[in-house]
Order: sequence, then structure tokens, then C-alpha cells
Amino acid sequence: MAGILSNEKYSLYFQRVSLMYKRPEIRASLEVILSVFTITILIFAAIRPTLTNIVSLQKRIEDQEVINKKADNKIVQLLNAQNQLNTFRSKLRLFDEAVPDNFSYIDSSLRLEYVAKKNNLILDSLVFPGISLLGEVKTGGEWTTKLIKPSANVLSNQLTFSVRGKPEDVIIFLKDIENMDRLVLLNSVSLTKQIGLTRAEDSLNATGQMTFYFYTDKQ
Amino acid sequence: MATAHSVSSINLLPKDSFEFSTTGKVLKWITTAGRVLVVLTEFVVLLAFASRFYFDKKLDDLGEILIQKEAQIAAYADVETEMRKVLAKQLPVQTSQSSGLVFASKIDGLTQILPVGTSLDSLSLDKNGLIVVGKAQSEYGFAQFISGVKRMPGVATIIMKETSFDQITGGVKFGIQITFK
Repeated sequence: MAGILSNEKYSLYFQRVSLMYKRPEIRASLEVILSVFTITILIFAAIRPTLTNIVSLQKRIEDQEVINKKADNKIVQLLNAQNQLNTFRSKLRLFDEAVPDNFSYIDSSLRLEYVAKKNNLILDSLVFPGISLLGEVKTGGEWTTKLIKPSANVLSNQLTFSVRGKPEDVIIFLKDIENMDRLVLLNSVSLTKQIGLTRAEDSLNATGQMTFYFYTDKQ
Repeated sequence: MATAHSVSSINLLPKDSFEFSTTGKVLKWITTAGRVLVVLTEFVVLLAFASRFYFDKKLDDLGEILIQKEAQIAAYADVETEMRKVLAKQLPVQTSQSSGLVFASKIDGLTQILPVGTSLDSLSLDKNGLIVVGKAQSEYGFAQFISGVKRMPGVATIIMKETSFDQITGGVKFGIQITFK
């Protein structure tokens, strides 16, 4: 009984609503409200997140395209590098002789001693700077600032030398130093004449600073 | 013709006053515009979805291309290491050519301009300049030496330091500082 009454009640409401909906002003207003609602829902629930996604996708595509171009350039450069290495393969050993791998005190001192001996000179002193031979050096003490640090994989070993001998031999020694197969950069030279008892006993003292270069894997 | 015109103008539908009122006209226009807007919005939504698929595909393709190129670059890793090593070794060679002392040419140049009877007691050379201390047997020899120094290539300034004339021997003791360009 209650169900039948309820059905009738709802049927009455429905009829009233459909009668109200047939009224053009209500129908138009409702359609306007529904249109605005639909557009709002579509904008916030569908268009906005999709556009956000598209923007992020486009950004990623742009980034990938930049990487792609860089990869293309790198491949071209690598191909050129390979061609150049193949072309100059026989001359590359000159670089290895000029700038040997890994630092060595003995290498520099032996070279200087050899050139000095060849020119009949006396090598009075060789002063080497400090260098870290093994492991990482923790910066802290004042002495750490005096250690040689590699720059662009190259270690510059600046050493101070002092030789003496006949003037012409000293000059030849310095010229030989500049023209060695090892790369040595003369930074400064100071020549002082030492007067002997006879003119033949006159000698020349040469002191100065020179740089030997070594390749290292450390940056 | 006249009959056709009169037939077409007959409207049997009941006239609704709201439809012809200003509010009714405005609401009708807004409703039509609203429908168009809804359709357009739906179209934009479809377009956005479709374009998302397009961009997804493009990104995937680029990703695949990059993976292939990375593999190519990885295959050339040895070449890269070797080239980097060569370039690292080349750098100090280039630097030494441009900023070296060039001792041989400077000492040869100095020897050539040194007149007979003029000798040097000390010489200090670095990449900025040269300091020479020596003695000339005569004023003429000293003047010749100064004029030779002026002609040396790459000389920017010449400063004469302590200079003394010895009345007994007639010689000149001098100290000259030369700065290079």
C-alpha cells in the first residue's frame, strides 16, 4: 500500500518536473547551466591534465632532440678523431716522448744529468717541487699548497737547476735542453761569469727554472 | 506565386510570448552558443588525446634512436680516450711554442750585437725581459751595444741602470734592463 502511494507520489513529481522542463525559460536556463558545467568539467578534468602532459612531453622531446644533435656531433667528431689517429699513428709516439705517462723524478733528473755530462758541465743542484705520489692528499697544512696539482690531465713539474762549466758549454747545454725530445720549457735563466786564475779557467754559472710535463689520469 | 507566399507565411503553432521576449531571445542565443561550445570543447578534448598519442610515439622513437647512438658512441670509447690523451699532451707542446723562453734565438741575437771588446758578467733572462750587466772597453763599444739592443726584435723598453766610466782603463761598466713586448 505504501509502495503504491510512493510510486504515485514520484509519478506526480516527475510529471511536475517534465511540465516545468517544457517551460522554455526553465529549459533554456537549465541548458545554459548544464553547458557551462560540462565545459568546466571537460576543461578541468580532461583538457587541463592532457595539456599538462603534452607540454611535459614536448619538453622531453626537445631535450631528447638536443641530446640527439649532440650525439650526432659526437659521432662525427669520433669518426674524425679515428681518421686523424689513423693518419698520424706513426707520429703519435713523439707526443709520448715529449710528455710521458706518469710522473717520475728519475726521468727528469737523468735527462738533465745526461745533457750536463754530455757538455762537460757540473750539475750543482736540482730542486724538485713536492708531489703526491699515492692516494688523495687532504688539504690542510701549508705544505699542501706547495704540491703540484695536475691541470687538464697534465702535471707540470717546475724544477730549479744550477750548473757550471765553460761558457760555451753552458750555452750549448741550455740550447740542448730546449731541443730535447722531452718537452722542457725554460722559464728563466740567469748566467753569471766566474773569473778564474787564467782566462781559460773562466767559468759560467747557470741557474734557472724549467718545466717538465707528465701525463696523468688524475684531473 | 502569391498563393505560395501566403501559404509559407501561415504558422499554426501557438505563439509563446517568452520566445519573443528579450530574455527569451538572449537565453536561446546562449543555449545555442553553449551547445556549440560543448561540441568544440569535446573536439578539443579528442584532439588533445590524439596529440598525446602522437607525442608519446615521437618520444619513444627518439628514445630508441638515442639508445642506438649511445651504443655507437660506446663502441668508440677507446678512440675517445686515445684522442683525449693526445690532445692533453698536445696542449703543453702548443703552450711551450707560444710562451717559451726561446733561449737559443735570444742568446744568438745578443751574441751577434755584442761588439768586440764588450763582455757580459751576468745575464738574467725570463719571458718578460732580460737584465745584462757587463763592461765595454770603450764608450764607442758601449754605444754600439746599446744601438744593437735597440734593433733586437721584440724589444719594448730599454732601461739603463748603473753605468760607470773608468777614467784609468777607459772602459764602461753597465747594467741594462730590457723588457720584451
